[in-house]
Amino acid sequence: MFLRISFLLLCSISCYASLAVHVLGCGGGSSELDCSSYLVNQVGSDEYIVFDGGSMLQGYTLCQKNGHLDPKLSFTEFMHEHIKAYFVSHAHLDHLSALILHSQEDNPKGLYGIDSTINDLREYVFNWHIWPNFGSEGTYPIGLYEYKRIQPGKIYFVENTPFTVTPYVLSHPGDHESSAFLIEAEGEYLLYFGDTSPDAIEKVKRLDSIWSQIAPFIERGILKGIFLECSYPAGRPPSELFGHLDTTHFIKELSSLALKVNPDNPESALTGLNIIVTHMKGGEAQFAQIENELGKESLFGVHLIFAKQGEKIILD
Amino acid sequence: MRQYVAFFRGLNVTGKNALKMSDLKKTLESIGCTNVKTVLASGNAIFTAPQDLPKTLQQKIETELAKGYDYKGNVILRPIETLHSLMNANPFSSIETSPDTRLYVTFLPTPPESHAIEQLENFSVIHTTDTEVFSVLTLSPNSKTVDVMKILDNAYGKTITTRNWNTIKRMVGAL
Repeated sequence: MFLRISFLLLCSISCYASLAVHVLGCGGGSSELDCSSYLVNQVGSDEYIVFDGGSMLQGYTLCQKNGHLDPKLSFTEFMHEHIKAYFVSHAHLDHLSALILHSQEDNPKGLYGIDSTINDLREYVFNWHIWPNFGSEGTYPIGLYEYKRIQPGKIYFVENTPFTVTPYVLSHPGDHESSAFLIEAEGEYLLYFGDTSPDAIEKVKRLDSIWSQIAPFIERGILKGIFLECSYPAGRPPSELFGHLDTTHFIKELSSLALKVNPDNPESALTGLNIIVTHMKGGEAQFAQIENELGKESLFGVHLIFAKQGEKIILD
Repeated sequence: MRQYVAFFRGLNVTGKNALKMSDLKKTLESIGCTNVKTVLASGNAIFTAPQDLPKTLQQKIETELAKGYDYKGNVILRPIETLHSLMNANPFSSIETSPDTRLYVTFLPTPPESHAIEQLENFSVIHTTDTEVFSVLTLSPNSKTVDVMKILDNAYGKTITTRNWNTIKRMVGAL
């Protein structure tokens, strides 16, 4: 079962404000207007954190048009008043380009990433060659963005927000590192993946290790959703996946997760879990192919959602 | 003038009762409350109010929120001293916690006829008063937060509201 609608409300009784995600961009880099960026808050809160900054203004404007964000606030005002921190999964341009461009209008805040991401930002992006050094390291740093080097598996409190974030390392591709972030507020969790190769191709157990860690969260009902990339339909040779999941590997990875949650009955182990598909590459025809390939599977009972730019997803 | 703490039921848990904390603050100020602070986004406010009886004040707040934001929940008001007495009493002080432990305080609008409650694995009510219920849940596949909320609603009705003990601690920290 899958949904692709402009507003999603997935709710049940709780004593916590629900986690919400505004999709500022979710494409796989094929369009400059729709690249990965996700704005996360608790419903009712004006404190947001941003995961990746591929396309921001386009998605922000669409969210305003769709009634999900205050239409009176310019994006610059919104950045100043409401965005408390950025988390960058890896320093590829489709996860970063809008953040770079808007940095000249931004105000000071933390920019979080694993060492390899921060190193790339310092060496190749905010370095006075590609762009002024708005970072806090490297040559003549302006210090607008204070780099926060975060270590895999450690929990970090995000200042001025109710959130904690735990990073994990992903492969993308080969030796290059990407990352996933486990986001928590008031004991409820959301897992966001940057780009990732399948474990089977990289001969590693990075995804497997994440699945082991979050399986108990699913059993206890406190993981509210997983944003996972699926860049291609099935049928590509491994050499042409370029560090991404296709539908075959996407399903395999969900299978690994289901087996960890309930090895006796994996078919329904993930019942009701929100899986948000991101980073689809190509055009409409390829998107439809991916949706068809995933949509025809039962996928262990998950609630499959295809991210759409300008959409607000409430997870509960 | 008197200082109160307010707990709003069901706020921001579903899209139907979505309300920005900045709008909640404005609403409270519009009816004469001052020094308004909100804590987290689950509907927790601390403010100073004119000398109205709490019931009048509660109705006023509910009416304004319904009018302005289509809020269909209810508000439970307590004098600010409640927060201090909760912290001082701390019924959870002897509970050994793990990452799976959830400590809940349920606020009741009126004293219940009884505290009879359904059983749930890994869940226990450890203390009750006329206006509060203190409970402990150890999360497991068969015992989730949502299960506890249903049980509490079944026992005490749909005008109660429950908070994690950490939320109460944050409110005390905001004073």
